[in-house]
Amino acid sequence: MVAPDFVHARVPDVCLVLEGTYPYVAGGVSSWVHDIVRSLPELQFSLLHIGPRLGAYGEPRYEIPPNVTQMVEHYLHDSVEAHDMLHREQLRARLDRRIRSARRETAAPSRALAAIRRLHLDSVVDDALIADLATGDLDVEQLLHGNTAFETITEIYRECAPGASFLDFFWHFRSMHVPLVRLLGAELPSAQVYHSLSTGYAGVLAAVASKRTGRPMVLTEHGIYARERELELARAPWIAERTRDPRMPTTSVSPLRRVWSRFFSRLAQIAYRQSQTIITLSEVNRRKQLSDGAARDRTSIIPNGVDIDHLSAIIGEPAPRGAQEPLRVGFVGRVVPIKDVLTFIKACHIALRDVKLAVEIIGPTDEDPVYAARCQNLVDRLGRSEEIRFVGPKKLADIYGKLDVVVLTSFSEGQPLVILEAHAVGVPAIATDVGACREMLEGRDGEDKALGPSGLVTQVAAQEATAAALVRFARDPELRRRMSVAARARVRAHYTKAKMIDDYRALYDELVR
Amino acid sequence: MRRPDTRVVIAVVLNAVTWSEAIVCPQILGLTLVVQLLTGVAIVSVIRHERQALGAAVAIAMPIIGPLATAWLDHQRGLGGGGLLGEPAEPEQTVDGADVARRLVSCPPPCEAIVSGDIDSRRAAIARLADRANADDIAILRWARTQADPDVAVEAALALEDIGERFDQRIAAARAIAKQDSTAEHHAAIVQAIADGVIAGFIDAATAGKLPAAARAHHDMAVLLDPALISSLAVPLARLELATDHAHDALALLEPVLATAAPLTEDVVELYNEAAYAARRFDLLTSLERQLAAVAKEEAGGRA
Repeated sequence: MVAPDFVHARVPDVCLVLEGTYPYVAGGVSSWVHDIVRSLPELQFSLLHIGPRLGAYGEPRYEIPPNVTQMVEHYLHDSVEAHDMLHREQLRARLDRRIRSARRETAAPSRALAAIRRLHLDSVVDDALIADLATGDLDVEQLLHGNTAFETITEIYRECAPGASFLDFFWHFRSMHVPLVRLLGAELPSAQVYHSLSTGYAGVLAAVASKRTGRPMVLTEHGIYARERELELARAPWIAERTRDPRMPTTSVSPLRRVWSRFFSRLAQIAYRQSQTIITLSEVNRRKQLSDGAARDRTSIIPNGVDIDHLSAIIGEPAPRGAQEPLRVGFVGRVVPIKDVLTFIKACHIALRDVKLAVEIIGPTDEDPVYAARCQNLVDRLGRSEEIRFVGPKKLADIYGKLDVVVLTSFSEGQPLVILEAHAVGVPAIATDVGACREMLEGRDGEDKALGPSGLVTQVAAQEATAAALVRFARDPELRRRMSVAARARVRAHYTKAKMIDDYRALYDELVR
Repeated sequence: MRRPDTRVVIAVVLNAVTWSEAIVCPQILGLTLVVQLLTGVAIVSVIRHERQALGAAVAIAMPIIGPLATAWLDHQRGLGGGGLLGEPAEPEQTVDGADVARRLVSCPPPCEAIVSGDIDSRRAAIARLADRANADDIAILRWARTQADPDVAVEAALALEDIGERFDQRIAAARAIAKQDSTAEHHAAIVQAIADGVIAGFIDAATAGKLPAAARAHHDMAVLLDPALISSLAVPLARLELATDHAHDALALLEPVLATAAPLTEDVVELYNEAAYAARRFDLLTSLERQLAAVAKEEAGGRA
């Protein structure tokens, strides 16, 4: 679906391919996209947004900048029934015709179907596979009702999931591939460069667009998409295990989990293969990309950056804390399970036995109300409603000036903007050892490490360690001062927005030419 | 395929003969009907139970073809009959001993599987621990959470988070039910749910907060509504008190149970002794424990 109210003056310079983020979902990646687009007004952008289904998001959370000249939206689960309840009979007739046509299948076999087969059965992702996908010569009816497709599905089942129920496998296969086939057949906007912000479906779509048009592809991964999906899949209750009896020992997970996991891993490899430049935010993530199949000579690191002068101007200097006043602790982020707010609350509770704290949980609670309620219940259960308060989202100017330390207890992170923003105004951090957090707090290389630590790193879900870190901060003002100095120096040296924008400007200039 | 029963064959042949005779000689129609009835009874007595009602109807109502059709249908696959109208029975859980033995031999211990480096094996082990979630499993997951490999630590932490979510859901559901219908059983269910979480080690003393107090309140309410529950609820609550370092409270809960005339179980005696040790009330130890303590004292004296 192409939004009609954009002016098509020329082929856009950069097409940003986005999955479930900008402009509909607020968060780190969306803020990054908004910053990049606004900071490069000399370039024209188009946005290709992939959402779960029409109407899944409300209004855009960001005002689209004027240099965005085109916006195209595709949906993974764009069910025909949802649109056409009134035309059910016509739809059924049309579907019947298409099924009959698909069953005849006298023409050459689908190359996209062959690519899907190779995706599961071959260990190599090569240019030929991407070229086959790029033909897009397969539609959903052929996939679900064609004889050749059924033979392919049964072959993949026999090879990859022989222990699972075929019906289960079929429905999982359908869930994986219907969105893929739908996207492969979609109309893609023209652009000089295709820039995907993740692997997964967005990465494949960018790879296919790049292959079709011969234009280069860039991939920037904030978090490692395939790894994040793996973590979700390992716990997904909608994948049936072979045995539901927890007493029965087993050495392997459900073959269906493996099929899903491999599928996302293959999608990532497609994006890595087609990308001319593969960017991530930290060395930790770069190593993950390399182990997942990215070519070393194509990878590079461009860390996120913040506008220090702007932040300093709007936030000002943090207000000094009186000697007898409690340590002002902030959790800044969405109250969702991946941020492990429960551990943060427990850590504060444990630390509160030894020191005084004034804790604020700053961020929206509406994304996962059930989890937010669990967090609120925990605070009540611990009897800490006075000391630990949920204050909802706040303006940037009102957050960091009133904090002595920010804490991140996330299970997974890319390169959290929260730490950069806090550091920019001299607020140190306590963060879990995930994503780029250790690099950001302890330094990436010799020169960076020489600046000294700007915070304390803990393990995930380690409430005692996080509490101990809070107690250290509360009792040692000199430690806080040293870390505050290091925080400012580190951001100024390595994480400025100007440097990040310059790096992307140079990259685009080279590729757009 | 089963061979047809001889009685059925005789009945079917007799049925066919009498009907063919009845066509030419209507006087024997009464006899023919009796034969038809007997044929139906004979067939019904040998066909499968779930098809007897249908079989009887067909065999008795339809001359000649009825008994034949019933005999033929009995040999066809499928359930059929009145059995379909009832609730389907839960399939019987069977345990294949050989399969269990094979899996036990090939399956490394969970700690080994977790640090083995084999992703499948690790995830299978973590998933099993999270599903079962007893005290040992939670201890292993907590250990896994402290591993240097970040993937292992995160997967274990997420598994613990899943267990925590289930625990919270169980408590919330039990509370909602008790709020709607304040019966002794519903309050007892809350006590049991909280005690399970604490005893399994999922909720530690440091973060139990008001949960033990809530368990006590629901215990009191349950006992008030049904005094007979005092014995059965004392054990989980006493375990909870012990786990949260309230040994004296555990003793106080168990004393009325010990004082009852009902026969004591080994669990209760063990728990009482454990509480007595934890409370440093050695004078309360039961006779066996006292003997053990005396032996230990003698040994200690001898060494001195």
